[in-house]
Amino acid sequence: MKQSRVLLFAVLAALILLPDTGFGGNTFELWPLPPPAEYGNILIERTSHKSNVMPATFSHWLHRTKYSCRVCHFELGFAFNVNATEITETDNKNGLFCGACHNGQITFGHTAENCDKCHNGDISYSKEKFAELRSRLPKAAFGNEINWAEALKKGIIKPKYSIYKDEKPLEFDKILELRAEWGGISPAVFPHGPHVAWLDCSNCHPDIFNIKKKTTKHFEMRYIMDKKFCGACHLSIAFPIDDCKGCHPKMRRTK
Amino acid sequence: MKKSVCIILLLFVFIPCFAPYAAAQSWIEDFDRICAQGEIADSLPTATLRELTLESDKLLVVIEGSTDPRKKVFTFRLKKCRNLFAYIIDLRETKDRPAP
Repeated sequence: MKQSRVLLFAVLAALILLPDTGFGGNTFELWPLPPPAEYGNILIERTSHKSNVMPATFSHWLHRTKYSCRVCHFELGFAFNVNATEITETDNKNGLFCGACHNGQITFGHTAENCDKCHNGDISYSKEKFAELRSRLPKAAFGNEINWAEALKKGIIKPKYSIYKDEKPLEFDKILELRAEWGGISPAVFPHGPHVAWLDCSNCHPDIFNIKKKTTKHFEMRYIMDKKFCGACHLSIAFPIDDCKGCHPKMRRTK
Repeated sequence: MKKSVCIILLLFVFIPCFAPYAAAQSWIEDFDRICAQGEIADSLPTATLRELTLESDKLLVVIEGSTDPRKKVFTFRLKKCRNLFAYIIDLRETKDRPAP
């Protein structure tokens, strides 16, 4: 009798603790996601208030249709963390950072009449454009609700890989299978292919992933949720970790 | 005589103006050559990667000492390239070492 009670307790505990069984629900406290049109939008506020201008709004989804992540986060020197890059008005006017394209030739320039196109403090700026864009791109369940990887693969969008050279992404699609830290959770699958299509090797190695397979320390969900590892992008820019299946393909989708 | 003195004086005025530009051109060429190896870094021998890491370290000092406004972008990129080379060396050495 006592043995069967212990067994029953163990089974119930397992059902609660193992979310992959479907009984545990969301084990992680995920942040509420912004509306699709605002997902990946940021307000750059480093010295704006001090300079008496509104923070600059930047939309990842809008820029991603024209340029790969690599262009800004490698060629133009923007750090992944917002406000970590020392962008100044002089730099922009000298053709650095935003000024590499916002020069009045490639796109609208860094001039007085254009100030409020960026310095408007409005994180939902250009949401009308988003509706149009979303209507013609493959759908996804989370984030912008756009499957960007598929849009790129199918050639619906053709973001530039480099603005300086005729470079093409590496042909490298080594797939890593990473055992989950919890029992009952299917492994995470990391395909290099869809990542190298957008990024430079040096965007991830070694700053974010200085890890060797099977000697990985701290490569756990709680660190990912603290913007480490995959969390550097997959919390607020690339598809969010709410989409469990995005990385753990054998899991059941929760939405 | 007067004319040649004027030309020499003018050169003294203009050469310093072009010197930083010429210096920048030279480190940009070195930068391009070094960072171009990033794409094929994984296929390069470890000795070459070590050489590139050392060259990057030397070039970083040159760029950091430059007055070129582009230096903050180029130091950012060069550090990324340098760290990638160092990472691959580290990866190879760890692979050869038995796990602790």
